[in-house]
Amino acid sequence: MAWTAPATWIVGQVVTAAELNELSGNLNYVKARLGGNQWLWLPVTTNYLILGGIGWHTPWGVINDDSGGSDTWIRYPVGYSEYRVSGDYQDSFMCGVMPPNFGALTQAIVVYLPPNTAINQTHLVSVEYAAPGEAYNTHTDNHTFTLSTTSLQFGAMDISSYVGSLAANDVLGVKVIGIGGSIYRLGILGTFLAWS
Amino acid sequence: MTAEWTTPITWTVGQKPDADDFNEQIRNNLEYLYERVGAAQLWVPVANFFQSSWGYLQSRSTFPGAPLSGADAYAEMSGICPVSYAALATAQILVIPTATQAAADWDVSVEYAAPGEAYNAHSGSDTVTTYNVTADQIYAVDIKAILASIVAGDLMGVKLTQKTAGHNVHVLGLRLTW
Repeated sequence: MAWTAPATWIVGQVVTAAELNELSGNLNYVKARLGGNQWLWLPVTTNYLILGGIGWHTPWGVINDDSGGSDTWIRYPVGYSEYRVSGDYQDSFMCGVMPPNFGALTQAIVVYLPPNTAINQTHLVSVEYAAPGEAYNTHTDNHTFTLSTTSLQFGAMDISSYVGSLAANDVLGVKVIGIGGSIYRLGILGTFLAWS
Repeated sequence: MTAEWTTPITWTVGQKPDADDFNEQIRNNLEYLYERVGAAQLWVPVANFFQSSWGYLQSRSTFPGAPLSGADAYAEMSGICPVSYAALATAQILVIPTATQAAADWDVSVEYAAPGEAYNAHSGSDTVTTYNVTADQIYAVDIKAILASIVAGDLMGVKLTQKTAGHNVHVLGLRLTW
């Protein structure tokens, strides 16, 4: 339904069904467009790479770079951050603040793009969150995900159970680290949160 | 948020709305929309920092950011004020202090301008305020006063500088609400 410029009511006017339906239509129009305000995307900001000894990477330095040597990482298309979790000590981080209109959490996922097809990959996701004025680790939780991945197919780890106490104005930090083996590789793109 | 949404009914000719109808169909629904529209936010993660040389962002536990740990080290962020922007409610740089200080000596400065203007058409700074902070407690550095003239569509650059050795801080990003 399209937006209708609201009428100006005058004293003594008898409201009609059509006029009330215009109001209903406009309310529905506005509500349908609220969805864009009820989500938050936290892109990966830092990453630690061991392979190749490259060290700290940022979204601005990694697209045209790689860890070199015998590394076989794919290079994701420009526009994706080429962040990776592979084996111990390679972790990705993201953080952000929950908006004032944050409500009941409906979705919290870490989105990834794997370079390899593999089964039983294990990745540890840790979360911490707190409001300004609180210790940054006032709330903390973690979970080890066992994933079967298909090369270059997006996947998601559902972390909603581990951030269940999130509230408006909380600052959230998320860390992902591959554990247990060198084939455990993921390109971590970011964390997506949605609420109602 | 407290208001509940009620799907608007379709009115029929001859139907007489009463007070309950108006309260449920219009008042409550407007309140529902207001709660969700009136609290928009822009979050800009810190982009880079300088400390003797340009450094790579690092993490403090799970929080990525700029780890300032020396006099004159600084962190920078930039973003664009969205078109839905109205009146500024809050403008803050969110940080995790890495040292307890009764008067943390940090300077903040901003530059902002619309496309087509010089990047520093508007500028502001606060080199006077100090901050009473506790190590590892998230802190919001208020920069609203120096962004007072910003309008929708303006591009902005924001900088936090550590002025005194030992007043170390991990800078997370910039938050605007309106």
